[in-house]
Parts: sequence; C-alpha cells; structure tokens
Amino acid sequence: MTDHPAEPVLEMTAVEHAYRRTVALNGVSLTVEPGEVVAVTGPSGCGKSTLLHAAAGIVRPHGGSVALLGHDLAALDEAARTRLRRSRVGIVLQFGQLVPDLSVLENVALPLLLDGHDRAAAYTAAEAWLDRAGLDADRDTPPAELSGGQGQRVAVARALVTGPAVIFADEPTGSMDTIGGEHLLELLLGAATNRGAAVVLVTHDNVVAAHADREVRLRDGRVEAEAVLR
Amino acid sequence: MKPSTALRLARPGSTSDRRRFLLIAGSMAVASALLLAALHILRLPTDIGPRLGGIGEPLLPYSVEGRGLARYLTENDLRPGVVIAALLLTVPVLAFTVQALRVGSVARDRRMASLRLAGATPRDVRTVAAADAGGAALAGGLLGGPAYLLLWLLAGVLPPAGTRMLDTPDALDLATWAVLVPIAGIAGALAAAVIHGRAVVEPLGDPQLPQRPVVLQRRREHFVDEQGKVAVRGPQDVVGDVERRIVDCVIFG
Repeated sequence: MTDHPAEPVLEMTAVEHAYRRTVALNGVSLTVEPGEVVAVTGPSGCGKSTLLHAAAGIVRPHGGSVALLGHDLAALDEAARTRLRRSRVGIVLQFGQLVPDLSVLENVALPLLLDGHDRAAAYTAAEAWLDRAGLDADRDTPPAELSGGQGQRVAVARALVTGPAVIFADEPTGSMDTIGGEHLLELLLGAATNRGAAVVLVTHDNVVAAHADREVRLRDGRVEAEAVLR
Repeated sequence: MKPSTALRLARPGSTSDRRRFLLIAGSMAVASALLLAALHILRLPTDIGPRLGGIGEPLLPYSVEGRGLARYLTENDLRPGVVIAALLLTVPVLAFTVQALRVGSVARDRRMASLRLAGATPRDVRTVAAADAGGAALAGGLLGGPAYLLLWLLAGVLPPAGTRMLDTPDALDLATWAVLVPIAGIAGALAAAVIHGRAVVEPLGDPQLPQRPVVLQRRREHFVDEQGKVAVRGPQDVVGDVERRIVDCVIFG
C-alpha cells in the first residue's frame, strides 16, 4: 500500500441514505483526488455529515457505492472498515470525541496502540504531534480539563498520528472562536498538505470553506453546485 | 491490539467504572464464598456416628457431637437440601453480578464509541469489556477466600454448638478456592463479552439500526394501506372494487 495512490482516494457514486422517512442523501456522487482539499457545504440538515460518515465507512449507505482508497466499502465487514479507517484515514468530529479517562498523550497514541504498534513508538509519535499542535505541556492532562479548542487540536493530532491518506473533518471549528478555528485549520490543512493527504471538510462556514481547493454544495441530499476555488 | 493495551483500556477510569468494579468483585466474592460453603458441606461425613441410647434411637452423627454442627448437615436425607439451598443463594447473587455489568452503561457506551472512532474494532471493544469485567470477577474470586472465612466465623464459630453450619476450613477448601478464582474471572469475562456482543457500539455512539430503503418503505406503506382498506371496509368491498374495475375495463375499454 502507498500513502498517495494515483487513483482517487474517494469515489462515491449515486449514494443514497435515509433515516427512517427522512432522506439524507439522494444520489450523491463525489470524487476526491489525492492531496485535494474539498469543502462540503450546505444548510443544516442537507446531508453533509451523513455524506462524510458514509465516505468514512462509519455509516453504510442504502444505495450507491463508496470506494475509499481503492476499497469498495460495501464489500468490507465492520472490522475491515475499522482497520482501514484507523490505519489510513483520519477523522475529526465537531467535539473531538476523545476517550475521557485517557490522558491527552494516550488519546493521540490510541490509533497506533489499537493497530498493534509498540507502546514506546506510539508514544514517541504522539508526543511529536502534540508538540506540533502546541500541546506538549498538556500530555498528561485528561480531556475534561482542556478547553474546546485544545480538545479539537488533540483530535486533529490523533487524526494525523497514523499518517493518513485522507482526513475527514466534520465541522472541526464548529465549537471554536474565529482565531482558534484559524489555528486549527492551519494545523490540519498544513499537515495534510505536507503529507499529500486529501481532506474532506464538512462545514457551513464560508470562511472555513474558502481554505479548500474545491467546494461541493449540498441541498436536500443532492449536490446543488460544485466550484473550484483554487 | 496487544493484551497490554486491552488491560490499560480496561482499567476503571471513571467513578461509575470503579463502582461497577466494586459491585462485580463484591458479588463474585459472596457467590464464591457460598459455593465454597456448599462444597464443604457436601464433603462432610454422614451417619457414621455411634448409636446413642437404646435400640430404636436415631443415629447421632459424631460430627454433630464432636464439632458442634447442626444435625441436618450430616443426615443423609437432609444434607442435599442444605447444599441446594446454599447453591440457590448464589443465583440471586450471580444475577446481581450480571446487573452490575450494566452499571454506568451510558457513560461506558460513550467511551466505547470514542474507542471505536479512534480505531477499535467491535472485537477490540468486546475484548476491553471482557478484560474489564474479567478483572473485576477475578478480584471477586480472590476475595471469595476471605469472604468464606468470614462466613465460617459467622455461621461456624459464633453460633452455639449444635447449630453451626460450617466446619473448620481445610486444605481442600484452599484447593477449591484456587480452582474457583480463574473460573470466576473467565465467567465474568465471558458474560461481559456476551452482553457486549449483542450490542455493538457504533463509532457515533448510536446503534445503527438496519434501515429499510425508501422504495421498500413505500411498498410497505402501500401494503399497509391496502390492508387498512380491507380492515375498514371489509374484504367484500375491496373485492367489489376489483370486480367493478374489471367490468369497467370490459365494458368501457
């Protein structure tokens, strides 16, 4: 496996998904190339998060197909999808979703530890990312004692520690102030760009979307418009 | 996932985790003590004492006389009842243990969801849950020995002679305890694995219930609607509708 495959990192074709009677995705197609930063925007309830969850294999869509890093997600069982996610995909959600009783360092090292890496090596890699995130002084702090912005930076460090080929971020700056959000995006997009990793960024904030190479606008579960930003 | 990682993740972190650990360990200790008592009573000699009094007098087991034990413990016909009673007492205690496994389940599910999001497979989550409960049950099994000694003090020393329930612990009790400890740990781990095997936590924290595709839902709604017509108007009316349509088609094209 390579970190930067020549083929698209994500190919979603006519993806459909519904929650009971509410249709969240209605035939959405999306392709993301290696190293590309794509912002998925749209009003609340238009299916942005569902799109991201389906793309990351967290949710199994009811129709269409999703190929992530060359793997047809429908053909993988839950364990295989999880292994793919933890080794080659980074995920950042709005509230960090850190493990509450583990320290910051343990949280960042967790994907590596779950992947069977040696503890010392995992901690070394985690410390390096905490250093880059400006959190080296908080390595032993429990997540509950961090501010919202610090928690998000830990989540970004955790998403980056495995050296993913694609990062999915769902409103990563949603719970942060403007300056904190800018710093977080610098960290996330800077690290991703350096590694050549693709980023799929779900946001309702046009300022955040402006950091992307391309914007895909959703409405009522469909792609309403696409625009190349840079 | 390495075993050391599973053990680290299974370590009780929150207050509810610690409460669950104590409840599981405590109830397993009580269950182990009751089981040790039942097995000890099962080993007591029966009806081998000297005949007292004249012919026709009942046998008085020497153990009752020599050790101050209650008579029903050493009578052949009554002892099984005592043993079964002791075993039955373990049933509510074990049921309590199973309930204790569910203590703090909301916070634990949230934690497991965070683990899933960080890359834990469903199997990893079950392993962590099994290690968590297995550790607590193992501790309970270990505490079963001291709990048995306490039970012996309460039921085998303090009561007056002739009414005591338990004999002095011996080497066989120690051996039984040594066997019970790992069994308790394995039983706890298996129970937790089974409970968590039924409800796999999703990375987003909510169970992903299988959803019917929209087309199937509409067909189902249509079917239910038709059934409703039958129920409200009666089958004859609905058949009448069909017949009328056929007649309409034949006559009017």
